Amino acid sequence: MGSPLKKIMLCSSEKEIFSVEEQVMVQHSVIINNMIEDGSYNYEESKIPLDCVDSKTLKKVIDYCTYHTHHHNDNQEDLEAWDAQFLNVDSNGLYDLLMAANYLEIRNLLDLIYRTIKNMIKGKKIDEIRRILNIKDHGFTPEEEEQNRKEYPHFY
Amino acid sequence: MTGTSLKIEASIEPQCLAFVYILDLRCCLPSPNNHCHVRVIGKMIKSLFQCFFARRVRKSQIRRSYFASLPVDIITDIFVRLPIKFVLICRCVCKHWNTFISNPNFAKLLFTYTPPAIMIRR
Repeated sequence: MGSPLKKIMLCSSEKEIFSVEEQVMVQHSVIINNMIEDGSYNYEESKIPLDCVDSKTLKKVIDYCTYHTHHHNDNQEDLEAWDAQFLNVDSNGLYDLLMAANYLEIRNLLDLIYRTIKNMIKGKKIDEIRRILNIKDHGFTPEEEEQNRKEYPHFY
Repeated sequence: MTGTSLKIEASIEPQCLAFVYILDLRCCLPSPNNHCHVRVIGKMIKSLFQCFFARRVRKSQIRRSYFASLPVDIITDIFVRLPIKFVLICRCVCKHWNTFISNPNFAKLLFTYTPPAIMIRR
């Protein structure tokens, strides 16, 4: 592992380049940690291309990693409040973050998003879940949908 | 373009407009002194392009916001955290989830995550 001041370059799908402290990403992202450890990253030249992560999402992911690196000694409540504020996004934003966290293998962030989605689904009716997760095309034929509605009316 | 066709134009969807123009095209092509026709053809091409790009953008937006088409490993991670009742509710949320939850392998997987409990039956 390098010194904490070393910077690495991340390149978003819009080819925007973000410079981040190495320690921040290495601590959180399994995939970047592996990359640095096996020496495939060249500090002078390399940029890590993240083609399926857009700039907006990448910025948020970096914010998350930076905050959790520098504030990991804070008390649990403060961190949870910050996390709640951090995930105060619409369902598209949440989906993007989920895919980015999955791609970069950021375990804490993935767990946080899973918990959030779980709370979104838990205790809700089907129509509500569809609305919250922005599922417009559910893929059932009208007949199947009608049969489901007849069979489980209390779920809708 | 005559007054009537302008009126028709205002009343139809932009996507259909291009096709109307195509139909209209054979009446208005070879008329050198009429600038109106050039404008019509120009507009037609423009609206064809707009339709094409609008549809592409809309498609990609749908794909992006598609919680219903999450990769299998991610859905697994979400569902194993949910109480079984809500997993069953999720079956009716969308077809993709239904197929996934109905798969016997998922049931097996779920049992490895769920804490054991006693079932009492009378």
